[in-house]
Amino acid sequence: MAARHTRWMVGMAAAAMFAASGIAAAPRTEKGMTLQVPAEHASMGKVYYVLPGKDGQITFTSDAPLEHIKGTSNRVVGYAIAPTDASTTGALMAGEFVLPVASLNTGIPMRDEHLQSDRWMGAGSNPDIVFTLKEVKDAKVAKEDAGFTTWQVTLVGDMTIKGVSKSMEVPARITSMPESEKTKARAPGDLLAIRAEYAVKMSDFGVAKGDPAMESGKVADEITLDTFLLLSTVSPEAGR
Amino acid sequence: MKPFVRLFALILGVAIVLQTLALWDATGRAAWTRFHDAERAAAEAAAQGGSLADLFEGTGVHDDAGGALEALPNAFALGLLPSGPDRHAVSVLTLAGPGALIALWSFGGLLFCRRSAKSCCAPKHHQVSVER
Repeated sequence: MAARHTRWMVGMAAAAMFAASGIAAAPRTEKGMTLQVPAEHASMGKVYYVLPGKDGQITFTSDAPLEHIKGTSNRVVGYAIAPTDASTTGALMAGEFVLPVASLNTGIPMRDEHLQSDRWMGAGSNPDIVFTLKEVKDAKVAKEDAGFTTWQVTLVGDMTIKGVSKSMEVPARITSMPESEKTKARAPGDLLAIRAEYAVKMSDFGVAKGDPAMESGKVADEITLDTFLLLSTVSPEAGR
Repeated sequence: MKPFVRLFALILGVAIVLQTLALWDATGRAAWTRFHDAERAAAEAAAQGGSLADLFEGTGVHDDAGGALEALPNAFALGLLPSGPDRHAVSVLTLAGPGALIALWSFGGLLFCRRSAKSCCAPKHHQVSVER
């Protein structure tokens, strides 16, 4: 009885540590089109919500010797917190971006099924790929004009794939566009665009380690991710 | 089997192989067969009219990446290999493979007929007379 109780205690402690490590993503809203922004983040500055579903948001490429695989998704949800001072919008302070594994599309249904299987991304037990933005480094203005400012930055945060978190630094460009007559015709609110191209090693996250497809040169260990996220200060659920 | 039937089968087999390779080449030399996704095409067409992404053209946001995000190809492509059990089973391997086998079998038969002293292509009554 005592042993069972001890095991239960150890299990609970492990679960608490897991939660505290930041692996759990912010929960989705009821409609599921964005995340619930934690109060401590919302109070830090201006909240920008990722606008999923319309434009392409991410492409991933595996350039292995035997096969070139390309996939896409436009189901990324999340948010970013920017300083309230418009002149420093690019220096994002926090954020979270969630990519549902089930939304990864390579154009071949059977390959998508394989990708989502437990041997690969394990969509059943780890349904999301999460990037938690902790800070932005080296922000400098790259281009400025009437109506927009573009920054060259380094995003610092944790990437979680298949339940494994790794700290990452991602070079990116961020463009802010305050609301105007021109922008209102397309989407309400102040707009923000984040473009980042970077590589992720699957073996770092324990994905398909030693899998025959990887060993035989059909799938590369290093996957290139190209991300273009569009965000607005108006939630995608507003007015729905 | 009569020689002209073998010759006809040979031509048929070669035609299947050549046409399959021509289709593979014309549809982008893909490794795996893929089909047009109407749902995705509709979503992309909707995004074309007043895309939010267009607003950011020329702002420098794409400068490090060398251009806007590339879209996934969405046209039919005959692949070298089948990509599934359903309609995705059609491929160069499954079309040209049997075609090549027919062509090889016919060609082999023709060669054998020409070289064989006891012609397999000869009329039956002649074969019977040879056996006697």
